[in-house]
Amino acid sequence: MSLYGMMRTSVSGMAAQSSKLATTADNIANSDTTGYKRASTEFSSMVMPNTGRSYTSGGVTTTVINSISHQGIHKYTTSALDLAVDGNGFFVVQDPGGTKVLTRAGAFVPDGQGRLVNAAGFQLMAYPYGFTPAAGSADYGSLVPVAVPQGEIPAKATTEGAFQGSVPAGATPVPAANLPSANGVTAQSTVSSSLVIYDAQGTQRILDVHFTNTGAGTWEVAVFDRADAAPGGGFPYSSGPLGTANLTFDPVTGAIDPAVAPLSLSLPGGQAVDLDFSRMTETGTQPSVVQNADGYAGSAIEKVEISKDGIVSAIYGNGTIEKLFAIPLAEVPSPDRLTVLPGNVFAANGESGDVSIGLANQKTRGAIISGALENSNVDIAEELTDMIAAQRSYTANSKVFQTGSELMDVLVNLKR
Amino acid sequence: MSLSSALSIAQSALLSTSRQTSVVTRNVADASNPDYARRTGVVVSTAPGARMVTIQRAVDQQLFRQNIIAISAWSGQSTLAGGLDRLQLAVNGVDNASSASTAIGKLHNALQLYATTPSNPNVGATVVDAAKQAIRSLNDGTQAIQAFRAETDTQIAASVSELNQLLAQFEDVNKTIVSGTRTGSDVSDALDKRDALLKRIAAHVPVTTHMRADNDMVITTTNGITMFETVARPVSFAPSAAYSPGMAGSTVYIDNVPVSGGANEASGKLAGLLQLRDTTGATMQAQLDEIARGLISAFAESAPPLPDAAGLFTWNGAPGVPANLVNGLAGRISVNAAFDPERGGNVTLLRDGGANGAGYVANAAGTASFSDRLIALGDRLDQPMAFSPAAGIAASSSVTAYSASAIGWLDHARQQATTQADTKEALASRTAEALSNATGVNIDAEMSLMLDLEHTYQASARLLTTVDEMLKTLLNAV
Repeated sequence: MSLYGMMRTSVSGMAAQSSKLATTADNIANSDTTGYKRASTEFSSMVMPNTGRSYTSGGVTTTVINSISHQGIHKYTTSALDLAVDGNGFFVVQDPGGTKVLTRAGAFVPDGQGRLVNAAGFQLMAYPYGFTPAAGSADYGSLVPVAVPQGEIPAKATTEGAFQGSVPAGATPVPAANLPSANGVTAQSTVSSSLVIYDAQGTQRILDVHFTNTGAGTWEVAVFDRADAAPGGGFPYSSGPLGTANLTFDPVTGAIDPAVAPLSLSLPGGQAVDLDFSRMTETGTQPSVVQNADGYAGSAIEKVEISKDGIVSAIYGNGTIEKLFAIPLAEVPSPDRLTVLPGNVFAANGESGDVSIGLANQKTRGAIISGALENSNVDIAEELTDMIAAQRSYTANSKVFQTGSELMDVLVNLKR
Repeated sequence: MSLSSALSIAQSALLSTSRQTSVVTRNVADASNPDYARRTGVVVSTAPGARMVTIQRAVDQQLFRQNIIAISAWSGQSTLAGGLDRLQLAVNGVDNASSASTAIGKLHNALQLYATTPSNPNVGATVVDAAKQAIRSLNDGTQAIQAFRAETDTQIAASVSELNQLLAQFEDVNKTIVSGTRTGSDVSDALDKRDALLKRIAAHVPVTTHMRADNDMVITTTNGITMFETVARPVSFAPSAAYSPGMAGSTVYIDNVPVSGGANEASGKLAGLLQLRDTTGATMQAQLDEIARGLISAFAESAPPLPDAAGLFTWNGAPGVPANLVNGLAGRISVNAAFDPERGGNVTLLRDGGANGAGYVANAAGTASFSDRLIALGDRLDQPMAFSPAAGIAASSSVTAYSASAIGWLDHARQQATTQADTKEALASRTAEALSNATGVNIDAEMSLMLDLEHTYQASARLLTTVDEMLKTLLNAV
């Protein structure tokens, strides 16, 4: 009874230690796996009912615990698509079959269709930018795979421009007949500038902007399309000015007084552009005019940027930033109880509690760090010491078994 | 902190130290590059075990702006000084030997000698020879000036085409900088390149720069003409193959706005060249033309009420005498064949008058010792007459004085341009030095930084080996 019991107990002890050694082996093997969470074995005793006069040995049962909530240290990389979570959240990913699981392994690279796929082949899921998931729920239906666009951004037509700077005070006034607005052969301007604008097709067009002194403190602005300029440039343009405005400067401060509304130009083809001259001044003797306008030509995507909030933005060659997706993070009440599946992914179960998905960098879900990866939370030194201890325990258990076996031998030999 | 994280931190320390070392290496490698601005590797600690190095570039906009202004001024003045040097040598020769003034002086002497022996036609022939010398000086001078203008025109064309190339390169570099700034990549190299291009552009045209968002730069000339805004604006110029007196050179346009060469001080090579071609060249030609006109009218035969007629010196408008500035007269003036013994002429006409008919004969009696007219001719060379103010010298003076003033005018302009060029060169090198002190590489500082980095690296590597030893001890225990 008790000898057999003792032998069975030592077997359960050996089984428990070998299970511990197995988790250690796994931990050491995966000590460099991104997003790997350390598995450890916890023991609990199993006690047989005892009468108090004799002792019947029980055994040991093992429980495997995954330290999923323990964050590994971040390793910085050079790829903006390498993501790490700094907090409690998980990325939501799906396997090719469409099953959605959670992971902390964020080494994503775009596949042939631009979708972000991690080393284990899971696609990163996100909400379209602007979508706000309901608090405390898991809206899997609205998730879409994050795909880096491969197309071009269309051109944007210029709608407004501004001129800033100064025209020279005390310039010689130009007689009315020679003003650029008259667009004659003899037309002349005091200061000439030009501005690049774009139409809806992204075609560049240059506007000639002539500032002409008409008297003390009064200036005329005339805007022409350079395409209409006379051969070799300049006056007369084949069609009249696109717009003219009069600027009056205060003789004391040199600032515009009275204020002028932006000059509205209507370009051939119906494009409307507002030019703002309100920040011009009349000072000094040297003109200095700085121009600025919005609008851009179409251009290809330059790179993808992912912010702390998980917002995926495409940055185009012309500097336009387009926000595409918001990568959400999932959370469960008890992360350590999640079911561990191959590929460093986790699935919720009854013990872990229900998944809730929300935007990153909110509450305790944590921020997304672009250009970093989460190392495994395995510490080699700890594993090795555990392994030594497990080895010793295993040997001790085997000694118990050996002793039991020898005693049985003695017992069997009693009868000759 | 576990051993693994200690390893990882030591590893990132090694990485950031090696990145900083590469920044130092780059600084040292480019220490003698005047267009290179010093970089600094800044270490930023973000999370445990991770340190990033961001690269900062030393900038001093104010000094840089002063430097490019000084470069423009120096380039303009040195072009002007060099051009005036060549012009003086081509027109007046070494020590003014081939100048009109020297030739007129010799003519004056020959005339005086003839006046003392009016009966000797051989002495008269020396007067004609001296006249030919003066004409050669004027003709050669005209040719030299026009050749100089044509050559300057070629240089303007070269300068314009280089400017267009520089602006096109600038457009590329600026585009790289703007998109790099927007996407947050390191644009230090492109910024160096842009500054270098800007210096080269400033050597041609004085520029003002303005910054817009995302490191976007706008270039205007100091007169407010747009040269670069998003795209390069065209610089256009139609060169002329050959120049003749009075011909205006074609204009240089930047962004369809004409560029003027200005007067006296020139800023930028283009302005210097334009000034040489249009102002200096044209003024000198006008001076030679006025000297030629002075000679024709000084030697004209006059017998009122008959109109004055060309005498020893004649031109294609003869027998009339030009009353005002005639463009290119210095190239068309010649010796009247009637006086030239080599072409069957008679030197005694100089003594007696009458080359334009009997009405102009002064020595009616035909006396061999008649010297009144010769003395009068010599006096007329020293008598004041009215010159065109367009030629830039005192309007009223004698031909002799006028030709001397022409030399003085050029000498003065040359001297002034040379002095200015020296001053501007000093300014340009001083501002370049100040800029280099502010943004250049200091080898001493880099070397001491390198020692620091070496120690950091050694310490980090030591940590690595220590942790390694500790793990080894552990493994031996297994």
